[in-house]
Amino acid sequence: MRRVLLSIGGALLAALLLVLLKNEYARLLPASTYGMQAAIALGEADNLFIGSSMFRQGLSIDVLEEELPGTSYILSYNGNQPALMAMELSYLLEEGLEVENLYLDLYPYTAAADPWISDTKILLDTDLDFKLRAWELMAENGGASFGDFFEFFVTANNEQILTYPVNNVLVSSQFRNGGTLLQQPGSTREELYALGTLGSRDGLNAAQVEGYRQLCALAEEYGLNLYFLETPKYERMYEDADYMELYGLCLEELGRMEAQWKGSGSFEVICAGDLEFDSSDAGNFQDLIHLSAQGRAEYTRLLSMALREGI
Amino acid sequence: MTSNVMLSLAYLAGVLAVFYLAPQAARQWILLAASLLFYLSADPRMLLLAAGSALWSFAAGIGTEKAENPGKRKAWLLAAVVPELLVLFLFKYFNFFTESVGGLLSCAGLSGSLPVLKLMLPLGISYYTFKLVSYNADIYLGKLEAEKGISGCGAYLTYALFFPQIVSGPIERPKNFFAQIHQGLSYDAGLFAEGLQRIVLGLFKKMVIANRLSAYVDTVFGAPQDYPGLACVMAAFFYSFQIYCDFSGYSDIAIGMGNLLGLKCGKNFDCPYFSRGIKEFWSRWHISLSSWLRDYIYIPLGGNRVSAFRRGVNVMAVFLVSGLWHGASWTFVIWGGLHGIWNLFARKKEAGASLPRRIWQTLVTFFGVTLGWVFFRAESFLTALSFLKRAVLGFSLSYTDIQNSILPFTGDNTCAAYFLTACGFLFLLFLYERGRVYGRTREKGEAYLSEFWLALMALSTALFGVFGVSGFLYANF
Repeated sequence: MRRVLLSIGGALLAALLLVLLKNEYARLLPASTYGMQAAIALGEADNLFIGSSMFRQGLSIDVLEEELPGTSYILSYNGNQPALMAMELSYLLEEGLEVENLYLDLYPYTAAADPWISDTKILLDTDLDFKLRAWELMAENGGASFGDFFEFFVTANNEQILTYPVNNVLVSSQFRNGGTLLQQPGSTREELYALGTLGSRDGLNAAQVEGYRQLCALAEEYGLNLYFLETPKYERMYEDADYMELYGLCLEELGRMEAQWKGSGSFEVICAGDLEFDSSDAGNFQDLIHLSAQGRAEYTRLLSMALREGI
Repeated sequence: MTSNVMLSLAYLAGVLAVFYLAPQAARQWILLAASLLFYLSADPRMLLLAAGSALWSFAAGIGTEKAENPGKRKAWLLAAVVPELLVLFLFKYFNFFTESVGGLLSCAGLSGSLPVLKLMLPLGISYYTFKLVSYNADIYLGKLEAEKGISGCGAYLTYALFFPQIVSGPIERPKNFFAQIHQGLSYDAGLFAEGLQRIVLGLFKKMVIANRLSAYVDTVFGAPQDYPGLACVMAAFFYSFQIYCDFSGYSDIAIGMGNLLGLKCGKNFDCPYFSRGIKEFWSRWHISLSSWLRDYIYIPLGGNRVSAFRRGVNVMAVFLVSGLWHGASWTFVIWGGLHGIWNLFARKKEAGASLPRRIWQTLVTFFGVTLGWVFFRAESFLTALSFLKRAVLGFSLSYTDIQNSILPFTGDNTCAAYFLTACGFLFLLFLYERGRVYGRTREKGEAYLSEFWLALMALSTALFGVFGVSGFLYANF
């Protein structure tokens, strides 16, 4: 009995210790080619793009490196939201990343969601303090449960850490400076219309709007040029009244922030419609909201051109 | 509560506290109350049916024992068993029966609508029905004395509805159970420790392996045409491990829970994938069901003491019933039929075979069992065939196919990590079970885990348990 209890107790204590170590020190594992740690390891990113999978699928690192002066880095996490993007930017700047131009993902659905980390890679890239603040934000606004807490602090990323030497090499080979190197094929009109719509939301989330404000405040504090970018969505999204309503609300909020902008750099909002991108060409899209490799190269080329003209 | 193992364990912790604080004489009644409360919270509408069936079986048991002649004994047995099986048929097989008859009629060019019952399957009906049948049959066969009086009635209800075993078995035999109940349930440190070890082992199998594989298996079996043949092959093998770890994991937890309550229960699995032949496999897989089928179907039909033809019929009957017991679908019947045919032609393996031969026999058995699981898992016979066709004709080891075969684990770039982790834990399980089969740990007790394995399994469960998946595969049967 004693042997059994000691073994189980010892294992649970070891688990607790490993959990603490993981949450504080997993970020010190050799950096990959994407995520926050890789950005910090880079030291400077003249053009820092922070966003969700819209940025990962929507921005070509090859084209950015060709077309924009300086170093470009795409920091993208699945479902990355304004409230978390603000925390990520703050973390990167505190860790010493030098940035000149900051590009932020303007995706209305993430601004309408309760604050939540939907990509656990964020947890692998940050220290315990960041995680505790993120948890606080989620618990205050999203009603997180004990199960979420357990997943967040105990089980998240354990597989990646256990297999890190192999997995990091495999996954890192798919990215350069945060940009995906995978060549996703385009779709057909029939395929995209068969996907259905993405459902309705209930207005913008206050914590996400506050996230936009914090991002603006950080850009002001560090003297950054600030750009909000809406990556192209398939034409069907622009026919979706719910999406367009949220989109309008986001633009209104950003308009108010621009009016209060006191930064030394510029403040611009570049929507997909401002560029000559063909949102009706299904070949440019992987699904309704994500670009294919072809669409990504085309959009990034048009965006870079617009930015160069602006610069 | 029934679908969540952690809640069940939390419930057990509460029961244990009350159980061991109470005097020994009251413990049997605490177990009964806990079992009734468990059933009530999981399936309140069906508690009356389950308890009613058990009470009728109890009364019929007394009637069988008191019957003055063999004719009356048999009448009492039938009076007990027929309603029990009729209830099972009504809830579990009636719609399958009418659909099959309807299908036959339409094949014959006849039309007409047959009734369809919209009944919810009562919790654990397949398990408790078999327990009730074995009780009544054992009394009839003179192997067991009927339970009598208030205390006996309480013991019998506890046996039928024993909460650790109601969801997915094992199908405990009455003799062993009642002997312990009547002796009085007391704290036994050795048994308690054994129970803890079993629960850790069960949690490891269920949480770390079975739950980890379930998303992959569900994804690929759900749409095999969307994945490479390699993914179908992987899904078939992963399902073999998933169903084993899910079911044997539950059995370990259920037996372990019984041990904590002072009850010794028979084992239900014995490293079945190390079997060298199908006969050995069935002596190691779901032992409580296969021994039940042997004792209450195969042997009464004549067993081995009949002609070769009759023996073949008996074997097929056992395996077809086994298939049907798992579910009211032709896929289960086909699965049972395949195992039956394989058993008919299987020979007992020689004892002194060389190591390469033993490995070969083990692999052939495992591959054959895995093939059978495809029919067991598929929605229909045609789906199983198209799955197998995809696995064979769409098979290649190109880089793209390997990538696309790993992707269903998570659907994103964490899939490789999940795949490697799953393979790692399967390898750990292999090492552990190899030790059980060929090593010396078996001599130290049925549930013995060395400090290394115990700590490793507890640590793995805490850090790598997939807790989001609820339910047990065998709870569906």
